[in-house]
Amino acid sequence: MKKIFSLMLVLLMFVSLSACSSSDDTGSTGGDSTIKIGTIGPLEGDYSVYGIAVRNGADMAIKDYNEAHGTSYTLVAYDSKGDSTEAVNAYNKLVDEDGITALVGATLSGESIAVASASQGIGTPIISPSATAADFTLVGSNVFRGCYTDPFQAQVVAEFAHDTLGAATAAILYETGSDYSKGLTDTFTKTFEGLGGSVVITEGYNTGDVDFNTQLTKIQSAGADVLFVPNYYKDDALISKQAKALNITSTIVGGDGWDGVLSSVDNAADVEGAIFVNHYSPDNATIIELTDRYKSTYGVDANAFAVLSYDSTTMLLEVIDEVGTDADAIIAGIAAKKYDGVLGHMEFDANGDPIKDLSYITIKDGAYVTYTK
Amino acid sequence: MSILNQFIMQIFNGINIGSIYALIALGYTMVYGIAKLINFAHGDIIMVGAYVCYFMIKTFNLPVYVAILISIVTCIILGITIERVAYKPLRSASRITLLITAIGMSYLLQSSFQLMFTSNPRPYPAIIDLPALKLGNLTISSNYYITFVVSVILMVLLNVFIQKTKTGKAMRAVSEDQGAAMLMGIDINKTISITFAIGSGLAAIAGILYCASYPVVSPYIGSLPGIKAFIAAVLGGIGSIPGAVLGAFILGMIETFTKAYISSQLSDAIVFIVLILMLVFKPQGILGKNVKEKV
Repeated sequence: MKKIFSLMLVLLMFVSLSACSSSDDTGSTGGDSTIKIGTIGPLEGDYSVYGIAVRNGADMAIKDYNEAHGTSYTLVAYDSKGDSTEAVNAYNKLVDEDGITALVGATLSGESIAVASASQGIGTPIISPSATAADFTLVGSNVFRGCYTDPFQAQVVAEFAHDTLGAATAAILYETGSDYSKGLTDTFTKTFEGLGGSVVITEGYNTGDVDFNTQLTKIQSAGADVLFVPNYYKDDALISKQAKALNITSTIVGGDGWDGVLSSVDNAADVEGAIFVNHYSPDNATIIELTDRYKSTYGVDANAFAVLSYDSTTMLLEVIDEVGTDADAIIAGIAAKKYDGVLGHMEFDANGDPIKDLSYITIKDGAYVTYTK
Repeated sequence: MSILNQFIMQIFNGINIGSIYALIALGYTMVYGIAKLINFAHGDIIMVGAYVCYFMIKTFNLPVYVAILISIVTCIILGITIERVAYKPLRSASRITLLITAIGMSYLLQSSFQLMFTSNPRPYPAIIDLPALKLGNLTISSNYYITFVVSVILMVLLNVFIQKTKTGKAMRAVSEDQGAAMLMGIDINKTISITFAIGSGLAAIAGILYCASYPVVSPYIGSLPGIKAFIAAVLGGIGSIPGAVLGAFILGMIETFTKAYISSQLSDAIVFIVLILMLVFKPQGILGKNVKEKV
């Protein structure tokens, strides 16, 4: 027993020694010409589809950019497991050990707000391709985002439901423990009722629930024109399937959390006819070229977050090439940037939120297509 | 839908959730009753059962019933192995040691499945392909009645098995007094292995039916229903087989009616309040035996 213990001690010493020497190594190489870009997101767990998309999108953007401009940017990616504490740990590691110049991330709204708060005082330029919560860019002047905000998309969905679909009544089923879901629900309700419609029933469910039959039974009796489902794709798939089984005829509408929903259903008929807003239209030629290349490189379908991450990263690299690696210069550079990328034109308002267009997507015959009435 | 129809539909919703909890609770309560061990890995055996069935159908294109059979057999082997490797060496150790080991086992299964198959949720193929039942203007989906019928049949079979067969008698003897049972010539190791085998087989069926109702499988699907089923088993009287099923249906009803008529956010809180009240006023559960410990 004693022998094993002393052996373990020796081993531990070796490990700590080698850890020291390796961190020395990175310390010395940190000074040379490669500029490091960090990214953080859930690479495993329920939301890994988003985190992996953001990482791959940034990776592809950096490779493309290096190839086109002869630069040598590198990407450092860490897993947040979808958890805010893990995300902040990852951020600290990126700043202290890896010495990143700027961060593309984090991925989910909650963790991004945590990382943005942690960055105050350090001042790392941060652009999240995917954090849609309104509060994120309000954290500080170094924080930007490449996607539109939750209130903005909820407002657009409400206007779309009322004006384009001609809905007078709406039902809502949202996840009570999720900032994203709750934020969308609040703005949708406000906008939809402001337009003269009425939200007849709002039902919630707990994080991790898989049975929505009780809430859907109530929603069915309410008989609304549209059912607003502002959740992430895994829940969206289960909700749609159970709603179909209960013969709910309301048109299901949702936000960008729906992107990727087809990967979560065995039978695409379960989500047929659902309409959601997204960051790009699936039938744009530039994007099809990009997503095809993405699929052949990474072996998974590209979703909106991958494309957003690609676009945000490319813009960031352009800015760094223009102004150098000084954090303040990059921040000022992004704020003034007028960028034309694969997702069209993008510039930033005073908060650091983008001014850009969005698209309506519906699921038809098992594929994403642009919605036409 | 009228208020009455909605009410009836909510009853069916409650029965459906209850049936799933019942299937899981059966395994919990049986292992507890005989081995006096709260097998926290039970929820994860459900997950293994669901995964095996998934790969049999998706990767090997086997017919559904063959896939279910293979999944049950795999879980039985897994259950016996877990008992032999993790629990048997600790049989004379304190309860708390066993409990911690069971929790460790649960995490081991979850993490190894996450490593092997990633944590990405996978869409589950349709297992039950039967027409929905029409009752007046109500439609009862096939998942609902199949889950219900299966859980009731299994409860009855299990009860008969334990009350009437020789192995069942041996199980009851081991449950009452291991030492005395051994002196009477009962092979304790074999009896406990059979208990785990049956419990794990039930878990496989529960896993497949769970994924048929909520068609997504990930390494974590077992944990929440596992906890709920454990509550159901405690509510009904842990160790009692009809108690587990009764507890599960009561739990399903409480959950559904809280969501339907009080608040969808409070349902879990109310479930746990009921559990606490139960433990305060009738700690042995609804159908549990009141065993007085001699001091």
